[in-house]
Amino acid sequence: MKKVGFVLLAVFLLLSCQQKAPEQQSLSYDQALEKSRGTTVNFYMWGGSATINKWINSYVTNRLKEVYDLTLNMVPMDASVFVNKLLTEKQAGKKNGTVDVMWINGENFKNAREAGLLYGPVADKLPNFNKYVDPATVAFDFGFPVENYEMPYGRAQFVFIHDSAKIISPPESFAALKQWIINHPGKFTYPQPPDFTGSAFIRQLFYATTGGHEQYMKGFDEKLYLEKSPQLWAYLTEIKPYLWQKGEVYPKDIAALGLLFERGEVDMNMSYHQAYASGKIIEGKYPHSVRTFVMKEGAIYNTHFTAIAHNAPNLAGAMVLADFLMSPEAQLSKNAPENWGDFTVLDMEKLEGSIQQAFGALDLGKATLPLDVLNRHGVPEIPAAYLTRLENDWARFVLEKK
Amino acid sequence: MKNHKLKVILLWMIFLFPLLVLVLYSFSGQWAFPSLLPDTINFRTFIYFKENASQIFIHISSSFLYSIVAVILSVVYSLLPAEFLSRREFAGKKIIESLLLAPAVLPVMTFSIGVHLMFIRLGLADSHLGVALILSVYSYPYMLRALISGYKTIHPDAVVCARNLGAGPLQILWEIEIPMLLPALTAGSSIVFLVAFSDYFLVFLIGGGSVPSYSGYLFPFLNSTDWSLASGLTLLFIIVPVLLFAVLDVTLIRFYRKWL
Repeated sequence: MKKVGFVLLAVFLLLSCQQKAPEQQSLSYDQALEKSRGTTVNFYMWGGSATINKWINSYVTNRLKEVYDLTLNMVPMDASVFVNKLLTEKQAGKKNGTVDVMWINGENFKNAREAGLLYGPVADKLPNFNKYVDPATVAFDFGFPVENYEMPYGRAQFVFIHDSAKIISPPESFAALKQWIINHPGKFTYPQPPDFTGSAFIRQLFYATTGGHEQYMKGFDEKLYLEKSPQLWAYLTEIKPYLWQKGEVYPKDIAALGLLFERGEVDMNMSYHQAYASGKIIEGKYPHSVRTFVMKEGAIYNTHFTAIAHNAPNLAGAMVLADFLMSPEAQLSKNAPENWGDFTVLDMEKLEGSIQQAFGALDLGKATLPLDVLNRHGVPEIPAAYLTRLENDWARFVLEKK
Repeated sequence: MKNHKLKVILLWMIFLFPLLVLVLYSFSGQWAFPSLLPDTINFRTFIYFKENASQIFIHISSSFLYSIVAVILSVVYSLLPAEFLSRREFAGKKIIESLLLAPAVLPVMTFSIGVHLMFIRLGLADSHLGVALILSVYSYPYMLRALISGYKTIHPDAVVCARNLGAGPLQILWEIEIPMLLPALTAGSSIVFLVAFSDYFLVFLIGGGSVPSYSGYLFPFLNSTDWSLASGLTLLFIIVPVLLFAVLDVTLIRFYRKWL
């Protein structure tokens, strides 16, 4: 109910918003450094991982205080919720908001950018971005141009998770996966799209069953979509009777699937975070025999970002925080699996030798695949229009089909 | 007698068993089918509590604060209408009564969105006061219902008698009505407090994250796979109202002893 409400709210608000460039204060990074001393900055972010919360509340908070005399206030909130909050504030004409920095990407970024909710362009004003990031690698967010309205924060890649004590050699391709599912009825399922991970699963399968991702990169093509998508639905309806609960119901989100896997009801889990399983082993939730794998057809990766709100109450502090999160020091700390295990967005070739070595020496955890394996299998995300269409049609062609 | 005992045991089971599961989950590491008890035990939840004690405390006390203010506000809104509705008969009384109950019956979305815009313009959004106000508007019907029943138990002659003896309206309220309304007030306050303390959506919408709330802190964990932390935090969540009600009970008993 609430979700429907939020969507309706977003639609109404979008309709009532004019696209007008807001008057913006302009600030150089050096001015921001000076101005932000002794202030507080609000960081709105998803708060459902104890590991990530801890990293923000300890490491990031302490370093900001020590180095910049800046106090960090983390506000746990889902991205779709704070984007709606900003929309309402904009409609009501609130100049001085509450959100400084937010953790965002994909559809939420597109919505926020189109409604004029973001401050920018700002990324190219931040020294760490100019020094260490290759702009070409972060030019698009789910096919939508970033145009320096977002700062890259981390990189994540889709992996499958299994317990090597139960499955000795996991399937290496989607064709083999289908066979495995048929041979092990009830032991596999995927979260119901539009869940983030479930949706990524069917996108990968879409690439795999229709001959690769390249054809979709130019933007949405109705004819191509109608020609290709039936192959995806055929695969999914074929495996449906062999899924958990005979495919009559699906886990409502990735958390629900994660719990089924933890309780041993299904034998495979998936995650849009390559180090998730290693983190779970460190937490003591997964046995030490858990491993991850990718399909030879490829594993989707994406970049997630931070952005600054157009009505940020502490713009200076926001710039300092966003810059700090891109510093080699913070990126290195974030990359360690006990802190988070999130991959860096920095260009290794631009880093100083010692930092490069430190990244190379990181122990990513035994359940995380080696970097070169992940890189070799990486395929980019699909443009957002395909994503929405696939999610909607999944309900029609798979869920409701008897 | 034996039958009675069985019922008591059954009742305790119904209420304690879910809590027991929460306790088990708080300590559990791996817990997979077909184990009845967790396969591994760890104290990660408690380490998290210790490391994040100040955060947790800030969120709980903020929730407690706005809930108490919401209770007080709901008493303020409800006292006069409750007196009026319990003593007078007039045409359309039923309609007025049901209209006054509307906020508890209507879906929250319908009025909260409009109120949010209004609050932003008035500068009440993102403030503790705004949150307390919206929560009191949403939950006062429970107080109103309780107070209407409470007023019905006060014999009108008692008020007349006090007036004859020279008491003013304030004195009547303070010395006659409030003491006699205490049971109704306690019942109403308990419900309003619980509704306010456990509300997630309104606090999030109006408080916008600037007003820390414990439900807001808890919610992401309930939505994640980390059931150990979610269970531990839920147990903490229960402690606050239980403590409050215990304190309330003890104080009330003391008051009654003094008066009787």
